[in-house]
This record gives sequence, C-alpha cells and structure tokens, in this order.
Amino acid sequence: MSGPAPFDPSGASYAVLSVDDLSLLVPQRAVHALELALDVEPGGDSPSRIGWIWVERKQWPVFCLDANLEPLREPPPARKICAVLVLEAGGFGLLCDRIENLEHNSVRTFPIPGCMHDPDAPIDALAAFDGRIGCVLCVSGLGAVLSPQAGPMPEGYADTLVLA
Amino acid sequence: MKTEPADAWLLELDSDRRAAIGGFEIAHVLADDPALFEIPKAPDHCRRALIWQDRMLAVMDLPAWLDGARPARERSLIAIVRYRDLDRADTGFGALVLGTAPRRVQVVDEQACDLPAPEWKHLAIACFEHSDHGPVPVLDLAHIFSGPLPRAHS
Repeated sequence: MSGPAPFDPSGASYAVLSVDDLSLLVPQRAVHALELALDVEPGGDSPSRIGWIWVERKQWPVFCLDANLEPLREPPPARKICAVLVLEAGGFGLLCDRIENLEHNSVRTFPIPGCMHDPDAPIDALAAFDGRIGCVLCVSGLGAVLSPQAGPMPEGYADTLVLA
Repeated sequence: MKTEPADAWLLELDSDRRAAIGGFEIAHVLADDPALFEIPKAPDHCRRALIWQDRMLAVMDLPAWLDGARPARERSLIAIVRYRDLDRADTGFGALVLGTAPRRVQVVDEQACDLPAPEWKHLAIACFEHSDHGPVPVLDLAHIFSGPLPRAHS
C-alpha cells in the first residue's frame, strides 16, 4: 500500500487560492501573475481548458476547477481571479474566487491521512491555517492531470510553455 | 474456565448498526460541533478532516462506507479514537462519526461470534454477541485509518 507522498514544506510561503469552500495552498513563488477572469479569452475547444490569457506577450491556457479538483467547462460567477501558476517549464492559469498570501509561520502542514489518500490526486499535504484546513497543491501534478486534456496548443506554444 | 472480562466501548454507528472498540481506544468525544473541511479526491466515507490537539484527523463515517453512499447526516457526534500505528510504531488518531455517545461494556471470550455481514471483515478483527444488540463487530482501527478501504461489497 502506498502512503502519502513525502513533502518537505521547509522554506515555503504560501498563497491561498479559494475555490468555493476549498482552500488550495501553492508556494508564493509559483504564482507568476494575477489577472482578471474577465480578461480570459474563451477557447474551450478541449475537454478541460476554458480559454487563454495573455501575460507578458505569452499565451497561457486557463482552467477552472470545482471543489473536487474536477475541470469545469463553465466558470461560476465567483471565479473572478486568474492565477497564473508557473512550473519549471511552462505553466497555466487557474481561476479562483479570491487569493491571499499567508505568512510562512502561520501554516502547519500534515501528511494526508492514509485512509484519505488518493495517489492520483495533485495534493502534497494538508495544511492548517487561520482555523481552516486546506490542501497544499502539487502544481506540477495538477498540470500533468490537466495537460492531456488541454487540447491543441497554438503554433509555437510548446516551445515556450509546456505543462508539467 | 471463564476468561476475565475486557473493557470495551459500544458505539452506535447509526440507528441500525453497532460496533465496539477497546476500552482504551477512545481519546475524546467532541461535545461541540467541530469545524470540518472537505478534502478533494478523498473517498466519500472519509472526505472530511478536522484539527484536534494540533493533529490533522480524518473523519470516518462507517455507515457511509457500508452503504456505499455519501454521508447522510450533516451533524453527528464525533469520537476521537486512538490506535497503535504499526507503520510508524506510534499512537495513531482518527475520528469516528457516531449516532450517540459511546457506552462502556464488558466482554468475555465466550461471547465470540460470527460477523453480522461479510463486508465487516474489512473493518473488524473480532465479533461478540451482545444480549440486546446481537453480533457487535470489534473495529480494527489501525486498518481502518491507515489506508484506503476496498469497496464494501467487494
């Protein structure tokens, strides 16, 4: 039986992306830009991608998830922010309701309890902060989940942005 | 020769089903409504987590697992249970959703009996006959909380 993936939270400062009642923690260094969801250009010709956003003359695919991390084709009205998350090579935009930064020492991380663990879920750990519980998102893992569903990329896209 | 009685806690999981755990395996019964948070991708029967004494605990709804359904009740009593975590050679903790407060009982070997249904084999290490409630499975907490459970009717 495989247990939760080891996770080293040392040195991480987190941003919290709210998706309905779900709090997704990502390292602040993974947040490349924040844009308005209104600026997302529709382009939902794929199973999961809802469109594209331009940041610094680069085009980034944009996704919208529900509180179970399943792609949504139609963004709910509450998704007002597009957080552009970067990976070692590439990245993507993720719609969220709001975003806040946390002080490093205000977050405690925990392994995912064995009975809850899904090895395919893009979650590194659980976190307690401000009286709440959130999930430390594995950005590259989410990218890997979404990438096969992202559909065709524009010409030249793969040279600059590669999911996961 | 009769064996010495052992302390146990009788747990009412819901109006139809009961189970038991060892007399030392209840750490706390939460009197107030704790804040519960849903964890994405977690199984329906243990989709919620809570913080208790600086620990992150899974909240296990065994009737939901037995029925293969999402938890039916929004609010129930929650008992914090402790068990020997063999993987970590440490004490592990989890949370169980209960219908009412646990009740102490005493059990002797002569009460041993078969499980009430095959699916209990995934949850229980033993079973005893209770004079009022019939067969009562004894939960294997380490197994229940340490890894994913199979489908109830597999």
